Amino acid sequence: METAAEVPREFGKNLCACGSCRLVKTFQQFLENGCENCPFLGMEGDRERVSDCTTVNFAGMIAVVDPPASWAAKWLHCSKFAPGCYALSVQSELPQHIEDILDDNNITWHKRAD
Amino acid sequence: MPRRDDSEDEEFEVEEEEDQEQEQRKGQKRKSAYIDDAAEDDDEDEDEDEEEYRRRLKKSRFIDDIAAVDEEEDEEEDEDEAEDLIDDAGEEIPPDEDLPRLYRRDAEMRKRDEMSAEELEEYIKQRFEQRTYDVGDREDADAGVVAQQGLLPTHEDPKLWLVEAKAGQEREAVICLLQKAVDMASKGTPLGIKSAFTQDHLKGYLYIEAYKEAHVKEAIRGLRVIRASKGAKLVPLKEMVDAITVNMRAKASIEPGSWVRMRAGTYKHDLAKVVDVDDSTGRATIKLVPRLDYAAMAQRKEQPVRGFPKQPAIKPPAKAFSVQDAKEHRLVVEQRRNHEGDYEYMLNGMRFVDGYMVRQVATKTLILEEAMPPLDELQRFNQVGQAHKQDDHLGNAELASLINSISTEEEARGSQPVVQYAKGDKVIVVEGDLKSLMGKVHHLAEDGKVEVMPQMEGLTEVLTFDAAQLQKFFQSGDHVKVIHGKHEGVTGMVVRVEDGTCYVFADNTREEIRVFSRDLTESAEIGMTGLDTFGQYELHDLVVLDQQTAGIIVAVDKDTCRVLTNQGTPEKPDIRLCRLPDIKRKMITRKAVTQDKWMNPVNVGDIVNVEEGILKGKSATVKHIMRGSLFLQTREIPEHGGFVCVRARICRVRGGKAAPIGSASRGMGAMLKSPAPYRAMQMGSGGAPVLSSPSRIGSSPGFGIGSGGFGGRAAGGLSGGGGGGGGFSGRTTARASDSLVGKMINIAKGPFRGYRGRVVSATDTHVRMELEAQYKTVTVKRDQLRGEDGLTSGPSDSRQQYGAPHATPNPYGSRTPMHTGSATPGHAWGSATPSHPSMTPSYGSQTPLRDSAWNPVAQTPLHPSMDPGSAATPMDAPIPGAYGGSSYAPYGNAYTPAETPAQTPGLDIGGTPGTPGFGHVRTPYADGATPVDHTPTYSPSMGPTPGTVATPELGGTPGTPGLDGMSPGMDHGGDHGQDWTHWDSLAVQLPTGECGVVRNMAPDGRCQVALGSLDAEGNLSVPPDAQLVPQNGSDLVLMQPRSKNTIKIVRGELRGQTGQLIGVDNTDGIVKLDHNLDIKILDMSTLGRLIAA
Repeated sequence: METAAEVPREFGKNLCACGSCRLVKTFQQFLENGCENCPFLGMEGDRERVSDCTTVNFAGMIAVVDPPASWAAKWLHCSKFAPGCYALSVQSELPQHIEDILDDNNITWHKRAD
Repeated sequence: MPRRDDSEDEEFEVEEEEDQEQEQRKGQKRKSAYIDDAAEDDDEDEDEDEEEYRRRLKKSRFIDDIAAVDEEEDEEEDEDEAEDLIDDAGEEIPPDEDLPRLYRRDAEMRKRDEMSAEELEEYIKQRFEQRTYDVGDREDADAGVVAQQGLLPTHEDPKLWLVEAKAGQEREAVICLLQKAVDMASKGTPLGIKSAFTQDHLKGYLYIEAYKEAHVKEAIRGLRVIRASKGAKLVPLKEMVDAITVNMRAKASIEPGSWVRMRAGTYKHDLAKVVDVDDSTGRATIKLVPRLDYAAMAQRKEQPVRGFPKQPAIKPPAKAFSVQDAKEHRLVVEQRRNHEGDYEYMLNGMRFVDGYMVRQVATKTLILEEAMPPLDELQRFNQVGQAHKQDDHLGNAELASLINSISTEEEARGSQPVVQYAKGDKVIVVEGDLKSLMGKVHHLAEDGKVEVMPQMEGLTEVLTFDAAQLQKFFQSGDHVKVIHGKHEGVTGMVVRVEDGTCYVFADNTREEIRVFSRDLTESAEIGMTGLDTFGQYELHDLVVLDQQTAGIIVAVDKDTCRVLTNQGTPEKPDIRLCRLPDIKRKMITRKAVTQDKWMNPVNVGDIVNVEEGILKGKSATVKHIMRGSLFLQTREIPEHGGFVCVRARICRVRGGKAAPIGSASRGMGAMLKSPAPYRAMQMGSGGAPVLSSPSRIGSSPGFGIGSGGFGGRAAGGLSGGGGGGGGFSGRTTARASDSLVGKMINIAKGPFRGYRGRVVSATDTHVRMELEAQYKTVTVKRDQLRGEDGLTSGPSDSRQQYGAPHATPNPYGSRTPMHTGSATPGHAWGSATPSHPSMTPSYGSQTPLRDSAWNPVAQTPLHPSMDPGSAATPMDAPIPGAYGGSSYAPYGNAYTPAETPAQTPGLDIGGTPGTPGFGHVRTPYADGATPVDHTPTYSPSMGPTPGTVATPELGGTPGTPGLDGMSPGMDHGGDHGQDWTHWDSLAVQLPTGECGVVRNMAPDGRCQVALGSLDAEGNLSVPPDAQLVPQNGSDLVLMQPRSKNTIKIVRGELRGQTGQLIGVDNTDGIVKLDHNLDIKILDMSTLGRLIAA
């Protein structure tokens, strides 16, 4: 198993999902280590950036153990991400400046289903 | 095996071999990975349909035309005949074109046997792998729905297993599984599962993705939050996508402006509005109607809180926060301004703005109200904010904004998202493979599908879509009509389109409105009106809201309407927002009539000038009449469709008289004193003139009546013949009745006995009157009426005048004993007596009054004098028509000689006071005439008559007491001379129709009246600073007291005493006297309503 993203330390309300890759961790974890899939967001140590880039408003949760082999990961476009806990869907939109960062990194993030 | 199979097999074999080859090349490795899996084997049969499903997918993916055709047919047959298929096929010789299908079918059989299907697919998939698999990249995520289709699960993908977890701990289970997988992987013994996921809506379950059930079991073993014992259930391939898809619709999120309900606590299920949401903390700021128990809060403050504050057993009622209330309970309220400049209050750490409680809660504690909350709840919620705004003038604006907010919220929430398409609508596909395709609706299928003709080159066939996949499409410049929502019916031009919404410039209002494009349809029609019906009601209908309230519908919205009620004034119109059930019924008032300030009748459609209030000087058309209120429409006010509700009393009908009719007619009574007699003289001036003069007198109708009636009496007594005069007296009565219009009259007989009403119109036999107690206008025979005020007593006066002279000569002529008494000058009353009976019939209503007063004395002597004619005369009298004629006719016959002399002197006297007496004198003649013998006596008596009578009568001025009798006090006057001494503080009606209380009554009848007003129950209230109007007592009419009123007796032995009216029996009042508590039965006319100063 390749290096997995951190496993969320808590189960409750403190879970946040990364707005770009939907990785789910606690706020604290994002603050400490950023997002394993989206290092360009530079969340480490930047409380404000973390709250900009993450949201608690997500639905469903999936633990992807083996991303390349998992159909679910494929379906959710997580096959290339690190193993870890992801949200099935993320509800909120990212602030414009975060979107710009994503665009700069050629990342097509998941817009909300319309 | 059927025989032809061999040959077919051969052909197939070729294909098959090829396949096998490929498989072996590419698929071998994979096969080893899973094909021989036991689980796989098991499913194979269960999942036959899955296979089909997959094949269908394959079809779309690989665009293999032949295969596609084959399969379609295959499917049909599979469904129909499954296994039997082969045998049946063997019995018939298949046509050539069927061959490929048969190959195929056979191959399939074999595949099933040999498990080669997987391999075959594998081969194909390998061949096209590039195309399907590259979508998995994150960068291709945007490729959209089409690409996503390529990700549909296949047989080679791991399977989904459903396992049970403890409810509420699904997420924990997922995380634990992940942790376990990571741990195991680090130990070198990775778990076989690929992923595990949970859906928020699916409580107590989670899905685990793995190739083998054993892996799943291994993974869940030992996890506290998963019920491993329940095992794992395989999720069919088909359902895998559904299992992982998050239903976006159901996940409508809580946003500012959303309506939510509290999940628990004191405010459980209370409606709240989201002010702000912080997604990152998962908290929302909401405002709700506080449920505060100030008393309990005050108490708790005194004793320190131990542990958790107990939740009150009973929810305090939801009520707007009020600083006053809080302060009453000595609670400390901190007031401050927030950044928006509004005041907010802090109480026990709670924040209140505009009467709402504003608090931060976790979004988890809120239940999103998906649809629009019920209207009544909304209203209650919004009222709090409104009530808090102390400025009353904002009321209407608030109301409007409420309506707006309701409607727009409703639109925004899409409470009725059913889109109605119409043929020809331009649509755009918003979902599915053909997203962004534009077209026109070609046909609407019954099942809700929409057939669309695409507008794209190369696409010429009609495509079928679900309604949900489409959206209406408009461009600037389209002319549209709103077909749903608040603005339903409005037409206009699209000026701007913003995703899903169109800005429409409305044709009629010239305003830009924002409408969802789904609520629009293209239309060339120009609707000048918006909505104009509301249930069974229409715009501008007069509708009844409750017993006291009626109003005009001035605006109609989708499910509410605004009603301008009669409870408001032009300054402060009362507009109510009503729903259909609030409206009781519609009122038709086309025939309603009321009276304006000057007692002119006001009909629907009349134009009136408003003479008071802010609308002073404006004129408007009467649209409806509701009791005393007029609903006017005028162009001069822009609000409420130009409608305004005003009291009829402050208006004047255009073209109507500005001089009060009432006072004119009442004035007549006064006039009688001098001018009328003068006319009477004219009347008496000669045979022919006699006939004409009454008609001239018409302007003093009361008088005319008197003469008619009187004459009638006399004549009836004489002969009862001679129809000639009928017309004459008929005419006079008709005129007389005119003066009744606008008067309050009691009905003494008939079905409406006891009712009181205002005369609307009158003929000589009937009157139409508007009842006070019931809202209706009825027709009543004249003889069923009882005079109520000065009007009718006017005639009675004239009667008396007549009567007096009449009697006078009589005594002289016939020398009946009675006259001796009456002959004396004081006798005004006595002389009246004889006249009285004669009047009685013609003034049926009044008779009883007088009778009681007079009969004892008067009747007896009178009758004898009358009798000569016929005892029946009085009875006949009501038919006045006959009298005039007859009365004159006899004259002509019998008394021609006598008459001439008689008249002449009369005439001579002319202007002198004696004249009135003169007129009467003739009548007595008639009476006296009956016994022919009297004639001689009579003529001589003539001479003195004028003289005698003249003196008292003429006095008209002071001597006129008899005359004054016209007022109710008259009997009294007859009895004791007019006595005004007891009139102070009594309620009276003025000739103008106004009401007031007598003040400072002088002995001569001069007084002042403090004007007051009648309320709905007929009680008179006089403000302390009431305007004092000088009046003459003779012009005043005592207001009849009602039960329980304090009264004063103005006539009779008991005059001056006060008491309480206990009951009324027809004309008799039952009075309990104050000074000795005696119960007396007194004539109502002797009672006045005492108004305490």
